[in-house]
Amino acid sequence: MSAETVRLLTPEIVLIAVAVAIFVAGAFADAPKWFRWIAGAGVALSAVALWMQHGAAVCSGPLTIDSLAYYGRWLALVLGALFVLLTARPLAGGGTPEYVGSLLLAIAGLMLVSGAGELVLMFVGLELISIPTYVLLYLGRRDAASQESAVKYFLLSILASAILLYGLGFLYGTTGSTELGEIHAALAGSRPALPDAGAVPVGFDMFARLALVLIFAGLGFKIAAAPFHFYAPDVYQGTTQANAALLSVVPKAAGMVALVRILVLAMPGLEAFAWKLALVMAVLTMTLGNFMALWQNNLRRLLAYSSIAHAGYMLIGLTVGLAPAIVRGSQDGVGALLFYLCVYALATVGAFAVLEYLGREDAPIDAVDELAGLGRARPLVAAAMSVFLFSLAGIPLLAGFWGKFALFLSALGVDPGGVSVRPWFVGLAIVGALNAAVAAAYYLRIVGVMFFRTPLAVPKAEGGMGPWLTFTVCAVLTLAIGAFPRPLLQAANDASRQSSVQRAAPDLPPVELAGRTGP
Amino acid sequence: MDPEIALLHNYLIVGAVLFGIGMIGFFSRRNMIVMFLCAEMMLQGVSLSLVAFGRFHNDFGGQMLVIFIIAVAACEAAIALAVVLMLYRRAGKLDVIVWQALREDNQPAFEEEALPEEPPAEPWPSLSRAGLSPEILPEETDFRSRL
Repeated sequence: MSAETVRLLTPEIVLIAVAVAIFVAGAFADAPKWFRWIAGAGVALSAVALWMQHGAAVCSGPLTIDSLAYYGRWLALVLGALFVLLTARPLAGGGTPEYVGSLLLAIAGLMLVSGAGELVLMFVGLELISIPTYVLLYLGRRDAASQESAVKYFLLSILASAILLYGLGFLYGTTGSTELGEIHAALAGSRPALPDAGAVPVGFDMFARLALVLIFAGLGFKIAAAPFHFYAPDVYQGTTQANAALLSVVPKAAGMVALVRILVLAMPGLEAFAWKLALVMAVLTMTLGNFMALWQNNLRRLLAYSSIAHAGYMLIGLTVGLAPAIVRGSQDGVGALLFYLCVYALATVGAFAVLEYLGREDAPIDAVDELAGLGRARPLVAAAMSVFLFSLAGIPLLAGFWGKFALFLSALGVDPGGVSVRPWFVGLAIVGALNAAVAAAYYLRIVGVMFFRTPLAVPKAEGGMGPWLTFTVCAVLTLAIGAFPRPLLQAANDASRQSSVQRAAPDLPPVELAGRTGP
Repeated sequence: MDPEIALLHNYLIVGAVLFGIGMIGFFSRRNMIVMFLCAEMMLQGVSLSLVAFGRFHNDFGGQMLVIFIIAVAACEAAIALAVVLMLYRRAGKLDVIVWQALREDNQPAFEEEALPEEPPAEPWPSLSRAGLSPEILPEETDFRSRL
């Protein structure tokens, strides 16, 4: 812990300090509106602090502030700003300061995970996302369904944490260090993993593999990948639109970044096993998510299955990142994953913001049919919703299309030099494309209901300014990325490439980042 | 065998057993507090393995992680008790089976089946005590002349 560490952590420290100040002030002051402004100011201040240090690439100690970290932290701050806007309406039952403070803590947790170069910091970051989320789920609404969703998420999240920790424990046991750089060196064979060369415990060679499976299972819960997805539909259905948006984006981003940091960047020598595991999970997750979504009538439940399916698409990128490729394609797997994460987050948050805007406090929009005739009653809102749904479906010239395109391209580009694994990756891309076609069915069903059905009752649209601004910003960004995908895709690819270069040769001077790139 | 390695093995085995018991308990129990305690037991198993690995490698990283695990578990326990208390106030039960309103549309609710009632036990056959002359019932003397 040095002054340099504190300087690098300034954005997170600012966020946490503001959150604590809000918690304390909430006990004395009763001014729900002001806490939103303070939270917004905190996010802005944190963004300024991050902007000031942008360009410094430091890979030492518990922190790995490389371009992947910057990508994740900028994404976290953009999401934080969107969520502060989205939850602008004071809570009916009180508890606004606690809600806002927990929101900021979860965002700080996502930023910590992005920059974590050590198992302890990564674990603390993940828990800093989970623990405030329990509070958010409880505070969102106070009916039985909401409380049921809180307890379901809570119990399963603890179970997942325990499994993840057991995996981290075995990773530590194999390598004798909690730092990811040291772990990489030990697994690559450049540093002795055992204290003395003579004695090897029984089963020692299996520990790394066991660690990989357990870590995948524990983080699979965070990203809602099958077979660890069970909680998602129930929890999303029971909670508020804003909470569902948060759950579908923040833990998923953290889980993906942690998977990349641990599996791709820190565990060499296990690829032959890891990519098969990731491939099976990818196929299972996207197929199950898409087919289950076809039958849903509840919008939040439908979007929950859609978020499961999108976790499957992102796992394609992870599979390619883990592939033992001698010749890699032009598109990097992890880069495509990071790009898709951003695109998916914008569209999902936007879709939930539309629902939040249309619903009333006591009667949120639940069923697909409640959107009937929206195209005639509120054409602009319906157009924004269609943009998000088309983007999620991957219709060309929207952001989601470029995301899927990059992922499938990366899978097709894997060429491990004559070894017979190429058909697997081609098959993965084909399964992904088929899934995208299936997914279009349920996204287009919603669009059809909005534009071609006579309205039953025009939604009141009492969401207010905050959600309106949120979905407008999301729609503009989705259209902009659709029109000009190159800058963001470039940033994602840089994030992937530079962090892996730095990991492979930590003694080299840190790569000077080219320009200030951020989502 | 090297005593260090034997020691590591013993601790790892106990840690794995704790983790396994916790997981089985989590999946099979229905009381919310007991489920939470089972998850805590899994964490204790992890902690034990981490400390053993730390000693084996002569490194403090594992113990450091354990201290963080304990702190985080304390935070989670605080929230867990608050959530469980609130659910108990609403339903009056700690049983998780009460909370199943959120599920797929066509999926039937899990209903607790009452155990089938056991038929009343038949009395065991009994023998007359040994060493005594059996009691002679009056109706038996009618058709058994030798008595």
